[in-house]
Amino acid sequence: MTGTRSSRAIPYDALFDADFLESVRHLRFVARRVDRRGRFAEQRSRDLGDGIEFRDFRPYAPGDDFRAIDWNIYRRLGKVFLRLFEQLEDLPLYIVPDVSESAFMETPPRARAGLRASLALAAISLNQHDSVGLLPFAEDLRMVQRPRAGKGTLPRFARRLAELEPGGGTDLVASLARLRSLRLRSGVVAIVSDFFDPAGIDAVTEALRGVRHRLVLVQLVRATDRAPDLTGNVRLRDCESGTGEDVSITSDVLTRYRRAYDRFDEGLAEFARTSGAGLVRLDCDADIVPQLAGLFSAGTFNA
Amino acid sequence: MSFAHLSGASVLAGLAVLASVLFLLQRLRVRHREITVITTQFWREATEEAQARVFVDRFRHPLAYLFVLLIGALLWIGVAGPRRDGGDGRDHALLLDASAAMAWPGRFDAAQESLLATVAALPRNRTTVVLCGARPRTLLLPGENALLLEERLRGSAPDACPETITRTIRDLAATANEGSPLAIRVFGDAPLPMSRIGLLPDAVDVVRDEAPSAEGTNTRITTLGVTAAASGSWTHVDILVGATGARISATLDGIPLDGIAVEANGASTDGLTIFRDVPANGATFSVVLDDGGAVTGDDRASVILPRRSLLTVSLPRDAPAALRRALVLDPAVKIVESDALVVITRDADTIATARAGLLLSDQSGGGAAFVVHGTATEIEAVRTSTTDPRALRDALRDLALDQIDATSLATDAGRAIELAFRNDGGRYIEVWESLFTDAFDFTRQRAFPLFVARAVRRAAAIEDIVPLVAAGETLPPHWGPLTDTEGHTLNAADGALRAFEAGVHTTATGKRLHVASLYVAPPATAADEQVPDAPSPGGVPFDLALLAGLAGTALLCGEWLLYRAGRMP
Repeated sequence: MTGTRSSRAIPYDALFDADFLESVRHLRFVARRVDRRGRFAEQRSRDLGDGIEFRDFRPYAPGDDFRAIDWNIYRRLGKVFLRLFEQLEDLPLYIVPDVSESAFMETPPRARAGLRASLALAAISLNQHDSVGLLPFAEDLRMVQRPRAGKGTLPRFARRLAELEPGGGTDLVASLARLRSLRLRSGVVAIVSDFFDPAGIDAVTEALRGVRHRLVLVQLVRATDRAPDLTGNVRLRDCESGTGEDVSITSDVLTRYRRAYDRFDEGLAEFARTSGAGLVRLDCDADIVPQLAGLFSAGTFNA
Repeated sequence: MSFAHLSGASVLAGLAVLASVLFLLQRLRVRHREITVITTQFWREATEEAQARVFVDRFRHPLAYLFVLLIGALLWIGVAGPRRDGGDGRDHALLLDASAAMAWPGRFDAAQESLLATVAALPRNRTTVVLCGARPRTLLLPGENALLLEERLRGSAPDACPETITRTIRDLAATANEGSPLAIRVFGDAPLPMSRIGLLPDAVDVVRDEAPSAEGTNTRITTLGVTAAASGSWTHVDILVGATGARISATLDGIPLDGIAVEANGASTDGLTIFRDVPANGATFSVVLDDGGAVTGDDRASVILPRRSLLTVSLPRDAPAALRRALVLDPAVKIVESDALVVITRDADTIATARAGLLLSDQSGGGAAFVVHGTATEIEAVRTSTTDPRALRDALRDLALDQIDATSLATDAGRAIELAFRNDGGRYIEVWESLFTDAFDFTRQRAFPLFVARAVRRAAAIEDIVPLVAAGETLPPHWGPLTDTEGHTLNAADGALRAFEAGVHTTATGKRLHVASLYVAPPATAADEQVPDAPSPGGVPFDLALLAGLAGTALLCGEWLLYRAGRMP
């Protein structure tokens, strides 16, 4: 968890390349349900209407479209039934990457892995005609790109990601409150972050419970998060708040540290289990695509 | 600066200071290394670090302090090198014999090993080691680390010289601290006769280190001498060679002798061989033993032969007949009319030009009967001889003037017969011509032909045959101090001047002196009782400093590993 501070956005070429985009094409999200108000896409919606895949019959009700009446049933049974087809709609994916100072500090920065993962998720979603929105957060959350679909969206999305600058400290609680206030169409919210909010894991999970979207938590981790490579007497300075902690590294201190980290880690995992959110742990020092491929082992990932 | 050999009190004081410094360092607030991290929330939970800005902290890690103190103490002991004093309160002088006798195979190496073992067992702050070769040299001073001795001994070898142990013992006894007993231990074969050791002060104790007996047999050259040829030939010399029990081979400038008459006198023990009428041409005469035995240093000897050629002399046609007759009878002289090496004349200008010869002066002139003209060095040596008449006596002897009957001459002359020396750079003798006539009985004295011969040889700058002495042989004191070919002055501090080193040396009067590499043992009589052997040191001593240093280093490495593993603060 050590490194050098960087105040610059990560160059586009360092983030994305064609091979990377190609490698995530075969991955896809499948939502359990999508919102009624969505756009035609490949996600199953609650709407039964103009689709091409037969789903069910139901008795006719005044106001129904005559074109949906199954006249064969009427001839056989003398009752009017409608043929119902499943309407395929789009699944809005709201990608919420962490662009706080800490994400850009280490070498390589966690933001590199986070933004690559964000683009991979966006590419997956756009490939199946879903819409993707970008809402980076640090001390607050802001809408950088409203949900869009279409072939031209991915390059634009990539440029937007590459333009993201470090944005101060981490306040995930406030950012999620802002997300709720945006009243977005129900979809999937993918939060890509280390989740190191000074408010603590309890406050973070509490804020996450308030999100009414399906949640995918992409946790950016490093091996040194749990086993820091530190010895001796050190003054640890928080890269965001600037506060210092004097620590004499001993085996006892390291044990207590690991215990605290495990509590944090378990808190996040417990939230994912109980809330049905997806939790993905990405090792920032390893290649992103193989890790994502492991998660999409069956070709799909149910959010 | 060396911390080696501190006293026990100093070491303890150092340990106390070390413990105090480490304690204070423990109390001092830790200077933290600042590291920027992405979050400190887990560290906040993990640490109990006091945040107050105070100069000193509570004593936090007593076990770590004790561990570091142990490491520091061990390293300090390793550096300080405390050593238990020998306990007898004596100074120790260890003398390593490096004389020719130690060239016997394995003898010198065995003595060195024994010396090193003994040094390790003795208190270093009271031990001196001296290498007793041709010029005794101190190898280790009190307080110096014994490791230096091993380094300084590297490459040392016995010199071609007799023993210098007894001389060194005498010097040490003379310079020993008053009231401080001195134990001298000798490593080597040098004889230690009680007739000499017994004269030392009571506070000086001399013992010999036990040494294994020498193995093998040795033959050596015992004698090498050059003298004028018995045949009377001026241009040849006779050479005497003595060797024990082996055939010798002789060469002249590396070329085997051919056509030289050899007279052998016994060949078993101390066989003497005389080489007759060897050309005196300045060549180097060398003899080598065909089977030298165990010791190689005494198997070879050489001498530079004098260079002899006939001396050309010119003299007036009406020169005194006695003088001419003496010259004709001299085998080294050839009388010529011109281009003579030596000029005999009555003309002062002629002799001043030739600068070498005999000037026949007029008795009525009032000058001294004999006036020796010479160089500044030569004349000055004679003039300053009032305190040491031996130089004047040598000068008289060189011209055989010490053998003339001066009283008779004075009676005939009616005045004193005077001898004067004049420093004018010439090399001639001014003498009354009348002394060569019947008015005086000088020509009838037996010293007369000798005077003429030596005057001619002096004028021709013919040196006597270079004296050849054996190493260790006592020399006339006024020859000293001797200097070797490199200009080093050879010490004659023991009162008697000896040539200790083989080679060519120069005496104080400028004469060359050949010192043959022949070992001359000091005379030992049956009544001489040797000093007792000393017991050998009891095994390898326990080197606390070394072990402490090693242990401290090992613990330091362990501490570093623990620190890296996060198990040490």
